Amino acid sequence: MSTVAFKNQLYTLEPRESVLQCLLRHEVDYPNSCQAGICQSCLIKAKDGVVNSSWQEGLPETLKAQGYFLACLAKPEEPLQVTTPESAECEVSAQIINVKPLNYNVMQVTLRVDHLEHWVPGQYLSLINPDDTIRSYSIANIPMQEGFIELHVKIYPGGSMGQWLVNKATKHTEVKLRGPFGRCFYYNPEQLAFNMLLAGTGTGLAPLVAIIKSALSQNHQGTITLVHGGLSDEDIYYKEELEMLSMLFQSFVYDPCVLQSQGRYPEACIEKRALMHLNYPQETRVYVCGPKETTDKLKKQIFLAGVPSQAILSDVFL
Amino acid sequence: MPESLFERLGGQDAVNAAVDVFYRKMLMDERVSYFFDDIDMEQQILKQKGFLTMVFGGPNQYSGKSMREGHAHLVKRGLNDAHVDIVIEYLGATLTELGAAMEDIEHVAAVANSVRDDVLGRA
Repeated sequence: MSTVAFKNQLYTLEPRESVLQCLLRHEVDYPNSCQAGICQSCLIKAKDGVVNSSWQEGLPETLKAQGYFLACLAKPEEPLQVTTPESAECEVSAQIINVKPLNYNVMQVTLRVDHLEHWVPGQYLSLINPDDTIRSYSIANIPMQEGFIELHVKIYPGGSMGQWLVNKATKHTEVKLRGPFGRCFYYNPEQLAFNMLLAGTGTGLAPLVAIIKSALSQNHQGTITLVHGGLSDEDIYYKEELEMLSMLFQSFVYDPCVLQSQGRYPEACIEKRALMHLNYPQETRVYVCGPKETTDKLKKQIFLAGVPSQAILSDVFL
Repeated sequence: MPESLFERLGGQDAVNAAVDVFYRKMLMDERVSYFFDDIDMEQQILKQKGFLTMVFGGPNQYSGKSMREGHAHLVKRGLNDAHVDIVIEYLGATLTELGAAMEDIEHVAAVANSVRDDVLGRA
């Protein structure tokens, strides 16, 4: 029988019980949400004992190396001593290179940071400013190739991070980053050929751009179609860059749409527009990003159209 | 001969295939689809994998308690025997599509039926 030591208390695990289940059963209020190894809320650190790599699925290498794992996945066979995450170990320093508007409510933020290879295009990170405001943003480029991290930040009138970026942040301002997290990225080590359909609204575009750039840079075999949706014409940003990409790469199709157009883009809701491009649902991988209302609808329609659930990847903006 | 239907059907791969077939049927039937309106699909599919693994007799984490707690909010929204019947019907249809034998389908229906009272929050 195995045990977990946490905050000077020793808990005995029942057979097949996870560390999280054990703590909760003993009324320890440990953070958790999905209990399935995805949300990473139950991140915990081993101080002593054997950590099985299967408990670390989806964690950044840096955290794995420091003994971090997910309490909901861990079923230790030997005594384990654990502690809550230490912020200094989960965070790295970065400097702002530039903040520049992409449209009326989206800012492009570029960051200088060491070890660019850790920052996977399309995954998301937590940005922590000097006021200790924390917000999550997706990586919108290939940091390793471009030498910096690019984020797309939506500016809300009362939003603390957005207002700080617009009004206070300057070049060289120091910030902290945590991450990267999430499973919405291009991963195709066997170089399989398949079609890709990417759909998102607003700054949901950011991870999709990163995924497209990754796929193109790895010479992806198959069509890559991007549908970017907005409420009105002003919501569509990054148009020139994407049109340029579609001219350079024949396999890439860019198709923006808005709900109410003043004439610049076709009028359509994003689910319908995305489905128009779904010609071989069984052989297509779909990437969906954006606010929950949009991604829920998109995922459902795409799933019902015949795309296997495992071929639908998404990170929801919460 | 492998003892559980879970193994005979092909283990985890079979569950992964079955969950898509089963969940599509549920989402396309308006008698039950509204229960899934405000639910994250990925989370839901994970839960349904757990459920299918259980009714197929595979290794699972499901208990009567988790079935009860997991459905309490739906019972408040009107979840009743008729909905459970629909679930069992679609389980059967899913297994038929995957080529399971009638005997196995009946067994799965019986396992699903055995948690009916837990799901509906009855004593």
